[in-house]
Amino acid sequence: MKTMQPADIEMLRSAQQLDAVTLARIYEEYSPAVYRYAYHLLGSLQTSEDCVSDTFLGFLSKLEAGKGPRENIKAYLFRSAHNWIVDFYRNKGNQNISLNEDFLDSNSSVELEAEKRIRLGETIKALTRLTLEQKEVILLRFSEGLDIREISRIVHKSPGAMKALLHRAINTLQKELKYEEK
Amino acid sequence: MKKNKSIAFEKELESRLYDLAEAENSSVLISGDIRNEYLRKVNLISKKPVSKPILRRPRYWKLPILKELKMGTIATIMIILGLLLGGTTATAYAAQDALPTDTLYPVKVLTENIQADLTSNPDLKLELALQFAETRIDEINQLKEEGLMPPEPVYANLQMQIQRAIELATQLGEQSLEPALLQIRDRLQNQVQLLGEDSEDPVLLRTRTLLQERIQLVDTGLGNLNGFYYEAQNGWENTPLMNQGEDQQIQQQQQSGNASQNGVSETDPSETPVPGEGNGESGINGNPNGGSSTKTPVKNGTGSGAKP
Repeated sequence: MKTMQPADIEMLRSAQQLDAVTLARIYEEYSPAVYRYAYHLLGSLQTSEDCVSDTFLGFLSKLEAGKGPRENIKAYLFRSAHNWIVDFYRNKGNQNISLNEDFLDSNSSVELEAEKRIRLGETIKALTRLTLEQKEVILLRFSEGLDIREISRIVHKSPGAMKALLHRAINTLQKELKYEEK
Repeated sequence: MKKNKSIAFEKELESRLYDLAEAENSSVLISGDIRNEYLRKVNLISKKPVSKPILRRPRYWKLPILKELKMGTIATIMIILGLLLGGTTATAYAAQDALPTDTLYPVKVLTENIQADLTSNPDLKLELALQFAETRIDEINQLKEEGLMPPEPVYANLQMQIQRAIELATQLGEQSLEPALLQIRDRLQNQVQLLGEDSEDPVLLRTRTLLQERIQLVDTGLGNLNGFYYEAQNGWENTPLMNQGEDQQIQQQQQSGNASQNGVSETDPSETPVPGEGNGESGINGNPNGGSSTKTPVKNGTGSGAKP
């Protein structure tokens, strides 16, 4: 498990003391990542915003009640978002919402060079081949840089099960992206 | 061998997901309402007064990124600027992180002005003005952290952006005036909170006073929407708060203090205009080709009487 950096410890302590600047900074620092994570798993901008809103407001409520994160704020926020998403699917009858592949085209990629666009398209397409669980651990591991133990806490699985899940997901992506070492 | 391949693929995956995150960050902005609601709650539950004005947004927050505003617009501006300035597009991109002390800062302000001019949707124009105002406050905070006094043009531009936002609010039509003013007030109040209550610090005091004056003006408008609307249609020239007001007094006091203490005047606004804003009282469409010099700020304690 990663050792907490002094800055992280200080941030956690200040958050527990309800320091306004620290709490504002936490939102600025982590909300985009939580939003992306939610979007990849929910496939809807509006629902992802609901998830971010509930995650961060819930975080404040917990802190106010003297609860909330005890170690890693980032992992705590992702765990809250994960729980929200699980509840969402449970309430919706486990419908499989996939990532909208037109997302980049419709919003921003006008200025991207062709090669980059193709590469991004491949990545998005490959991600859609994963199960929701696989996609989640891939994002947490490779996009957010969390370690196996942190991820296993977020998704409530044992580190062993997590490794197996991650391994299968990597294999799928490797095939999908037709990866050959150069 | 197989393990090496696996490690190499993991690196490849990391790079692909990084690129994807970058592209997504440039495409989508979480609704400002969520941020406002969060900050409102922070202010409600916070026991400790804000004391450290060190809020720094990640880079992508500095770019005014909106769902409706295609990044293509910004990219086009960058390319045009690159060509105009005889540099590269990368130069224009690099300028987006520049501080008022940096050589590339005028490029940053110029980019903002062009972006505002190219935006035709009044709601987006208003949002841009607010974002640029927030960028100025970020810059003031960053300079303060580095022990530097923000140059006058930064304050002037901050004032101009807020003024622009208020003017734009009055142009959205009578029905939209109230929600627009409420939005402006919310955003300014959040900034006041984030600046903290360290009244000893002249930089923060000045910025906070400037913001509070504008909040007061917005409150006046909210208290008398019809009158405010009418005044807006007939020009703001005679509205004291839209001019320099108290902020100007503080500025004058600081300048006279500096001059008497050190025999050296602080940055003179008339010498160092911010590109695109003239003298700080320009209308909605400032001149994007205004002056571009930025004076090196004075170190705290050497010219301002500020705490080191």
